[in-house]
Amino acid sequence: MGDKSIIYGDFSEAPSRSEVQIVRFTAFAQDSDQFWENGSLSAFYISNFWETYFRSLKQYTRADIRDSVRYIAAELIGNAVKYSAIPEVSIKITFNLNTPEFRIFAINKVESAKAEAYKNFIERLLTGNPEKMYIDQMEKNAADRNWQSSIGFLTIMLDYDCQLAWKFKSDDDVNTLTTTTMVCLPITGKYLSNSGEPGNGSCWQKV
Amino acid sequence: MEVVGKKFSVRFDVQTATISFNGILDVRGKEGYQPIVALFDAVVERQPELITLDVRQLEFLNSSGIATIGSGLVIKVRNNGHIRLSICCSDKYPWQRRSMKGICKLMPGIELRFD
Repeated sequence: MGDKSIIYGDFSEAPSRSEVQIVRFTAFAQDSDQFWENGSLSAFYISNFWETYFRSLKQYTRADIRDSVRYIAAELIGNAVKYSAIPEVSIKITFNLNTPEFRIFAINKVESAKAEAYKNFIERLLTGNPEKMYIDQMEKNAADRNWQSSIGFLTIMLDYDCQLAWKFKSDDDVNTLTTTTMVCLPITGKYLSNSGEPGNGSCWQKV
Repeated sequence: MEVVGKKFSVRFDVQTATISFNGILDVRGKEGYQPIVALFDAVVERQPELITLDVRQLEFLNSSGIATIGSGLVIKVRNNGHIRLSICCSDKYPWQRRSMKGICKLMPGIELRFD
């Protein structure tokens, strides 16, 4: 598996143990408009689900966690919907109490022929100045009168203080690759609503 | 002037030169936002002294929406050079404080207000 995967950024696999892997959601539909709408509803559902597990502290309020998860999930799902080789995307949300991160993974398939442009974009994203890239892209959109965003990942990094990483894995079908996008939010165990004690993971057994 | 979608509305009040957003705005980029860009164009063409963008009732805005407001309105107003811009937000929806941070970098002197 290792020799068939390409990693960008500080990527780590989603934990497979059930008490850590909280939500796995797969949306699919034949009609692209319906698929888009399903993605929007999925992001709404995921964010409301997660809001209930956290409490407000100084840096993040519960509402802020809800809005952050909704925005990020919607962007990941939206990207997957737009660029997937087949109309299917899995969203995996993990909150590992042993690492100080709330992580959202989006897994989907892309056409091999289109993957190079995507990889080049990711390399620019990880090596460039995100703030300058954001402003440059906005100026370019205005000059071109092109309202296609191209700022989704940048806003996740800049506005939500998240780290991004990617994995591209070869499929048996040479025409597609499986991509995993990982977003780490700086939300730690102290935000859990069920206890003032970071590390008390009793709520996970309810899921 | 108004643009109404399944989950959102964007209205321009001529008297107050206020563009008000309501609902959930997560349509797909480019084509989906074209009617809203046309509304922005029409508002800027009127050359009001001050344009107020009221997003207090906007529950959600995706990145294409942010790009549309940033590139389609804020930069256009900035390039005009004779119009001031005020943005009214609400802390009811925390995304607004986060997303407006970047948008405000596109034009010096934007007045950003929170309820």
